[in-house]
Amino acid sequence: MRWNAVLALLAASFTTAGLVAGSLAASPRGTSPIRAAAPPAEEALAVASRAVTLNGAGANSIDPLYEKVFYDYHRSHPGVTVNYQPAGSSVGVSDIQQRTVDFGDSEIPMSYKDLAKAHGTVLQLPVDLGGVAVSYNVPGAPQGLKLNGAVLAGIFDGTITNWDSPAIAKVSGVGNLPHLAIVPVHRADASGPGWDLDEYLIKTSPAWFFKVGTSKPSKSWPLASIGVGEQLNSGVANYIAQTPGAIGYVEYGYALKGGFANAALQNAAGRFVAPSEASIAAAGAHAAMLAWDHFDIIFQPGNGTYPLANFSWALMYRDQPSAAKAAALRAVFSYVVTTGQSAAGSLGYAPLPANAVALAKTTLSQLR
Amino acid sequence: MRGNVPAPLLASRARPIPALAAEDVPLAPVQAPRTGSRLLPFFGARMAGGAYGPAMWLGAAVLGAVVVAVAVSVATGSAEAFARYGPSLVWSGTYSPGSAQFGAGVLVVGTVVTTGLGLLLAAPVGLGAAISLSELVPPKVAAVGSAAVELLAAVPTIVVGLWALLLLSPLFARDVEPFLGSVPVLGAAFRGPAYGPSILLAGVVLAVMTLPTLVALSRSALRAVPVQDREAAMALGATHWQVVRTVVLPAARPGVSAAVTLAMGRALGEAIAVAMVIGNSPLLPRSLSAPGATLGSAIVNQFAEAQPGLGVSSVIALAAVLFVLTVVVNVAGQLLRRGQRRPVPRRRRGDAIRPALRETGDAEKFSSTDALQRRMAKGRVAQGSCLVALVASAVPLVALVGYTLARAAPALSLGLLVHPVVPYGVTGGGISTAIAGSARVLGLAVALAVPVGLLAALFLYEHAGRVAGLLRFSADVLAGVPSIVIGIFAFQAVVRPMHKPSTLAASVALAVLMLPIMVRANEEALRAVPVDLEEAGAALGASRARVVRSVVLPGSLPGLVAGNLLALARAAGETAPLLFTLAAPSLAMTLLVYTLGTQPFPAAQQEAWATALVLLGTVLALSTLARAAAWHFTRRSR
Amino acid sequence: MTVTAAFPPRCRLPEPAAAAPGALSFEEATISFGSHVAVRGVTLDVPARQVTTLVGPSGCGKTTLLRAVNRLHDRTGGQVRGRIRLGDLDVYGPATRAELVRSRVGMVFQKPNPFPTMSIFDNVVAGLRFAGIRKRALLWEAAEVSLRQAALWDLVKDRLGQPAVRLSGGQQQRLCIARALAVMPEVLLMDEPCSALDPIATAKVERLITGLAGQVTVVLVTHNMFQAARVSDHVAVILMGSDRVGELVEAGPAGAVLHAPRDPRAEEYLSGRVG
Repeated sequence: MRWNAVLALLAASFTTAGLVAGSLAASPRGTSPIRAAAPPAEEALAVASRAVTLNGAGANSIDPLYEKVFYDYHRSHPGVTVNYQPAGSSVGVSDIQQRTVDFGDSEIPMSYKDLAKAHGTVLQLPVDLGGVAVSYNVPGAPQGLKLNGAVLAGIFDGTITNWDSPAIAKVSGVGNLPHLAIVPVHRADASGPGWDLDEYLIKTSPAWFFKVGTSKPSKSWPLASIGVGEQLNSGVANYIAQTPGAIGYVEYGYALKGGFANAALQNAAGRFVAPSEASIAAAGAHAAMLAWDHFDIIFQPGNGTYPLANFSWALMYRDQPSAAKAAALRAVFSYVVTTGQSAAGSLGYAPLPANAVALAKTTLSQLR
Repeated sequence: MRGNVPAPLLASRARPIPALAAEDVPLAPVQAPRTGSRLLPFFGARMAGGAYGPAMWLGAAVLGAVVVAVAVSVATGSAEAFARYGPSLVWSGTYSPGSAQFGAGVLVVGTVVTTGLGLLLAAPVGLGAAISLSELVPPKVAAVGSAAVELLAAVPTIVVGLWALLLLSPLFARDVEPFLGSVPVLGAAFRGPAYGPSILLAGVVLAVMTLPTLVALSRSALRAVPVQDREAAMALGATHWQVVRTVVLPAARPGVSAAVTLAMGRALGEAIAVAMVIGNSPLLPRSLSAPGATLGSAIVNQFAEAQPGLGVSSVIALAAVLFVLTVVVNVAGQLLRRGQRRPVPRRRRGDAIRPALRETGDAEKFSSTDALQRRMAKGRVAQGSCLVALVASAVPLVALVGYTLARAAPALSLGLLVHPVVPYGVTGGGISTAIAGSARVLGLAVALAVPVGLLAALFLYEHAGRVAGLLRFSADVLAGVPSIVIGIFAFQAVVRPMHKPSTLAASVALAVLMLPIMVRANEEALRAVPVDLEEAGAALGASRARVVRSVVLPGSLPGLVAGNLLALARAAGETAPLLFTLAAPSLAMTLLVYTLGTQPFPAAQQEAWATALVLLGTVLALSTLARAAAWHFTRRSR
Repeated sequence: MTVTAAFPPRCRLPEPAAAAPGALSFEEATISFGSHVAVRGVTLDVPARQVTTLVGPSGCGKTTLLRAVNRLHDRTGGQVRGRIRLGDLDVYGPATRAELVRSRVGMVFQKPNPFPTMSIFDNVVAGLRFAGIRKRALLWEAAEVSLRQAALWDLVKDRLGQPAVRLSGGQQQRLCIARALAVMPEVLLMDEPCSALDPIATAKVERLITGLAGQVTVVLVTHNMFQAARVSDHVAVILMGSDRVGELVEAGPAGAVLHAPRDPRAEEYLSGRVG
């Protein structure tokens, strides 16, 4: 009996030690080095059979495009499976930093500060050009209700509370909106679309600027205490679809699929422009100096330009654990930025402009 | 009892030895009659030797280690946040991850308010329904109702969340909340705009989610009150309701309060279904129809995307607070049950005995027909309320299942089951990817949890004293840990070291979730084997290991199967632990329901309903199997 | 009395107390569960304020007959035909409420069953509380009187607030007797009250039973012929016929029935056991 007890104690301590060590190493402050490349045997096997699984996570906005493109790619290249977890815009960044995925995706590329927390050099390449729709569910209201920064700021900071408010009527020119309480919907999680709208409001509404108290846009919605918070584009879109009086911001692709009424927003040229493939493409055309640290295409000039447009950026480590993985990543993302763009229009995105495709290809060539 | 004597035990005495040769194994040594079950050759072989003791200790050690690891993971994970903000993190009021403020105070209030509201709605209705099923309705109705309630206890919370999001939320925004706001007096609690998603709706979700468990457990506690206690009261002239109120209810109180504690723990820890309907506004609730946020919902919203370092640490700090909160509730519940208040004698006012009193006819007066009519009328009011509660608890549950059926039926087809998940816009897709994914995760989780669960239960069965007590307590603590916290643990302990989300990570999470349920259920099943049988085995000269193998394990097998299946059913319906551990939403049914159900497109929602129905079917099938095993068990031991 | 005469009096006890309070009579009582008949055609007058014992082998229906008196079969689906009278009350009469019958009939069960969630005091007065009596003085008085009757008062008077389940088995059974007496029943039914007790506790309960005669009608069921001989004024023998249905075969004064039964079946049974 005694040796039983000793044995058990040993087993207990080993198991505990193992588990505790594991959780300690995994704690946020853990400074454990990045795991070395996969053992050669495993790598050889992967190359030989060409069966590679890539795991990605990040922006929810690009999910419809990714799903379609990865699905098509898998059908033509059955050896490559790509999983994508559309968990939210900044998941891509944090998962890359923690190195729990092969690629991330974010509408706002990683900043120098973000990059400093990564375990190596991170490559960032543009993969789609999309827009953020301000959608509403107001019975009797027309499509393309004209709104500007001041009115939107009033709606989202809680000073304009009803659809028949004179401020809305004045800007939109629609005088017969119903007497219906406005329900502003924002993202409960940090998001690219939130950053875009925040940036637009900061640029166009002094009242908003003073209210949020910063000129730096935030991915977390700054006035989370007003209105309803919903998770992801789908949550916001779902809520708008269900609730008369609701207004919120979603990736244009979701608004298109949901058949929503979208606001025509006042752009830098003073025109009111609704989101569409063409108006989003117009914003992309102005991104002459596009780079990961020069990505902001909110409120671009041009008569036909939609003011809430953005690129989505794929994030991946330059140094991949295996040649097979590097090759697979390069192949998949080359496909995404070229052939894959043909699906863009029908899903509510605009195809990448040529300079963005070139940037993406150059960046991918550094993978190793 | 007599029927439960394993046949071989009797046979070895009753049958002449040559008869043994007629058994399946002709080479069985004559001097050692085969008494073991052929169903457990593996364990039998292993435990016949000296490995039994060490194996048990190993199981216990793994269980203990898991509990320690979960606690350590949460503690170290949140250490940075606590170091930075100090303990005020727990009660500080501002929660705004955007501006790096992570006070949990508002979330704790939100958690307590929604849980309180949920129990306030569910507990009286659940108790009333349990009383009806146990004491009031005809046996046939009771049998059907009890079976239904026990099955519904396994309904995945994600299905409740889906139902609330797609059916109730618009209803609450349009009708329920404006109506409640217009009621005089009461309306003050429902001021403000009616958004739909609200603390009220979250409370309703928690109530519907906990109701079946409450009813099922309370009912069995009431049923367990011995018939001789009831008859003693009846023989004293008590009316039916008096029997229930003065004898049955007090005797069942520990069981009922255990049910309420369990429900409270579940409600506190529910993350996803709440996040779907609460409106996610981290503010002190001004009104019940205002949006709010809970610890669980905030973790769902923030964990995946939190910045490494302080950000992640702060979210894990929320998990730590939630962990402590649930542990406190569970421990308090247990202490409350133990510290049953004893009835205090009423002090005598010193009056002398006046035998005359006995002859005044005072007592006669009370036994008149009129007095009886009055007593019975009182009882009828109470019984009526219980029956109303029974109906009231049936309504949401029938609505939930009925609505799921109605929405899912049009989308259900064979193609749906056999085709893989495809992206939006591609036709001909199905959910086979998710079904296969769920099967993989659950299969691996079972492989991880079942051996440990059995060995740890054997340890508890064989050992009394402090170590066993501590282990039992840790199993109870682990059983109360919210599944979202376990998901975070699996992320910390598996996903990050492996640098990728995986089936293994998800399985580890589900295994940790199932383990305590299995351990306790297994222990109960083992203990249900009558001691005299065990002693009979021992008296024949068998070793301890042999007695366990050939008497205890076969005797408790149906109970073991039932307990493990129930744990599996529970795990099959879990969403939160998979959220951070699987690579894509299409890799598990619950995740797929969550992802598709929140899409604003009819096609996606219909697929979500269909998946929900398949999920519901799976869980109910597992649960039914468990009931069948348990039934087999009780029938055999009678 | 006149009603009884309408039936052929198969068994008749001496000095039947017609409609006297506490007198109990069975008239062709047949008890069945579904299609299964447990006891058939029992006709028996139980004299008031004396001890009458039902004896017979296991499963012959003694307990079933006893439980019919306070209508405990109502909930388990037992059917009672014929007539059972308690004083002037028709126990199964169409206008008779079971609760009223039971408040006039006390019962002590085979296994001591004090209410486990109640104190000693609360156990004793439970029946009075059921009847709606709230007067504290009355409750206290009833508690003391009935505990004294059960010879338990001196033992528990200082710990009336303690849980009843802390008492020993014999004490618990005496508490159950006190509980049954507190409602001042006309009849006390005792279903093998000593089967779970040791000899000392049994002796105490038996002494109690003999002491109760004169105050309340006691109907006792027992297996134990010695016990029957020790405590009974009258004995009724119930035996199973060839169809396994219980029937009353003989009844009369204890001495006569136990030592010189007239019915050959009773003789056979009693000699097998007693002789």
